[in-house]
Amino acid sequence: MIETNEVMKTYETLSGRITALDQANISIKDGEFVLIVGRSGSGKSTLLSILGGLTRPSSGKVMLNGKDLWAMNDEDLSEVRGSELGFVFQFPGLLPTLNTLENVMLPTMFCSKVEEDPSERATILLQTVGLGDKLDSFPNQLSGGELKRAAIARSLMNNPSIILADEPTGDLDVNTEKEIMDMFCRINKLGKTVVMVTHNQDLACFASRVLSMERGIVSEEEGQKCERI
Amino acid sequence: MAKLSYGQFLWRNLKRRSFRNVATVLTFAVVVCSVLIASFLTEGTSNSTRAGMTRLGADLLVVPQEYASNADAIIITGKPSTFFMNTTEMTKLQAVPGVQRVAPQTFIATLSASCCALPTQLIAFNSTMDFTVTPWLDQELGRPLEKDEVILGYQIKGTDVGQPIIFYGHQFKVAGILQPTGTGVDQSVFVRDSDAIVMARESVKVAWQPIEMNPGQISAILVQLEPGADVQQVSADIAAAAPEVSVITSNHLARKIDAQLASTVGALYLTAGAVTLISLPLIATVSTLVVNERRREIGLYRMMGAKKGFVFNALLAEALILAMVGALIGLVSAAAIVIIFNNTITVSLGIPFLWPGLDAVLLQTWWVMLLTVLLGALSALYPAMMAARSDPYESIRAGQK
Amino acid sequence: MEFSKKMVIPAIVLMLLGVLVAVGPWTFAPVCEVHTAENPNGLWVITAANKTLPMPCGYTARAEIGIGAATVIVGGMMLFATAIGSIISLAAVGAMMGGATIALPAALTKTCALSSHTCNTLTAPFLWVMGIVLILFGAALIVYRKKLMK
Repeated sequence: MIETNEVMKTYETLSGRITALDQANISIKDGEFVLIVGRSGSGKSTLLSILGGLTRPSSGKVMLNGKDLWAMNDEDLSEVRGSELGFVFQFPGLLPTLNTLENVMLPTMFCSKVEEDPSERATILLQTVGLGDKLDSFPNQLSGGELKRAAIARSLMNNPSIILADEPTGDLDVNTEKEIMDMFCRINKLGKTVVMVTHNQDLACFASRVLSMERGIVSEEEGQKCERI
Repeated sequence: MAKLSYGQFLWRNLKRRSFRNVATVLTFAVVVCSVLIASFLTEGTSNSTRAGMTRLGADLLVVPQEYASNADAIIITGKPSTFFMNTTEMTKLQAVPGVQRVAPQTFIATLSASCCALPTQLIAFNSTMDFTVTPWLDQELGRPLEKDEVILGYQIKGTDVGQPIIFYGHQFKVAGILQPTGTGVDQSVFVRDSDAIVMARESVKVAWQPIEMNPGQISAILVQLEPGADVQQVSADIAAAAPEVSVITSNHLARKIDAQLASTVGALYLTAGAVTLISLPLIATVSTLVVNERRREIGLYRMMGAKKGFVFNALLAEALILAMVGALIGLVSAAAIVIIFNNTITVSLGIPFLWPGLDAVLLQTWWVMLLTVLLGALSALYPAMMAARSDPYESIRAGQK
Repeated sequence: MEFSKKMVIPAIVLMLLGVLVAVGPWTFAPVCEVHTAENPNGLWVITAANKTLPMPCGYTARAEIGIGAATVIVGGMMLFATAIGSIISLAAVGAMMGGATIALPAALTKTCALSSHTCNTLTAPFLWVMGIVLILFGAALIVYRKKLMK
């Protein structure tokens, strides 16, 4: 369960103050697949990073599974990021020095909630996303889609309850995009909350709920219906 | 592999930045190497001077004024020479207040001994008056030196105890070998003056190049002071009583050796200082650049749950590893250089050298290494702090550009 | 036998090192009293008793010719080393030659007793450095063997 209360984020720039997020009040229930749609610069990524404990809001409150995220100290906040949240970005963000298996295992180094053997769990996750034969490959040996799938496997490593995805399909071709979206749907079906930010309206049909953003203001989109591609 | 270990994680990160690593490691290696060489040389030299003077066993060495530097050379580097002085000086010295005992010695530079290619310093001592070699004899042999017996300095070890050794056609027998001092004493041969005179007389007939040495001819007078006597005062009094002589004290020798060593040690410390001054800010700057370049990576760690402390520690650990590897390389090269080039250094600088005890060497090494590693940590402190403090999302985004 | 292009530089380096080991003790890092054309048998000393005595460093200088020559031969063979096994074994022999280069002055034939002799101030340090370089070079060839394979 994610709830925000009057969350604001403003940036001071040379040309004056910019309001990236204006009094956002949203509530996301457990197990929802929420898509946040908006043009570039609408503040959707800022919202996601505040929900994920990566950027401190200028004011307001974020409650994540009953905990006031921004009232915590760095230790506790890092713990929440590591154990309750999984992140997928547009860029895959795999470390070039580690192979696929090690990359997926990396989160356990910072925080270890899962009791399974890290290497076994990482192997199973990689097999699930179809990279069972690429365990020893290094990021520079993987394709764009494969990198994204490895990043998804990594986000699941510590078995988080919420997956936050920022334009995960932004740089992919249509087929790979569908493949990745299907993967998020499967993750959602496992009971995990998925919050995804995108500029692509067409992805709305994958989500259970769609929020739209414009100039820092969040609003609920009603009656979005579409057929799965 | 069940889990990615912290060590593996650090190693993989280090492996990627080979240019920075090599530069950092080399810097620390050069600093440690030059500081350690300077400190080994300084310690080894003063240790050697101490040992040499103790072996001579005299407070003062009085030599003819014009041969003062020859006498210095005999003691410091073992460069042999022959010179003589007037025996009457002895009586003058004995009258100087503060002088307890005097003993004459005669220095003869051999052309070539059977053991060695280069000339050796023969030191003939008077067995009745001597107080320098005799105590050693009592302690080590339990008896005085007998006819035609010699004691060898440590470096003339081609010949063992009990074996014959020939000087100027005269056969001697090795009675003992002295402990190493690193000074010229190691290259000297001690004989009784009565035997030396016989040898000189025979040399006219048997030797390729005979030596001139007559009874009563001496080269130097060793002086032992009364307990509590002031070395400076007595030296001045001797100079006044016998204007033809020069007084050599251990202080004088130490000063001379220091002067010979000063420019080399100075250059070494200067190198270390310059390298430190130039490189440390450079390393700090490079580390800061590297942290900037690694912002996304650091942001990703934070995203995956890494605490500020983890990021700070990991970056500091990388710097410490580099500093330690550098310091170790520096230590090994410094030790190798001083060991391999020991003779080259001491002969070309004209200094005596004797390795200080292992404990002293280890202590020096420990301090130099510790300081270097601290320096390494210092250079990484700011970048590591900056990295730990940066906003995770900002870092990830900055890397995206 | 097949010529290996990749081994040309390592082979030349090894041969050069071998030549230095053989020539050094007779020229720029001389042992005591090395005489040239006028006195080809300069590896002895005349004592005060007019006796001719051989010096240990002279034997070192002679023996290093053998070690140097062997190193040059190993270097020559490297030109034709294409298989990983032959690269490793030749590199190992090269490193062993380095060990021998050091062992001669340090333990086997030795140098003179007095530290101020040129065999101690020049020859021995030179041979130590050459020996260490040979050992490190051999080790490096073994470490990077895969890159050198044809």
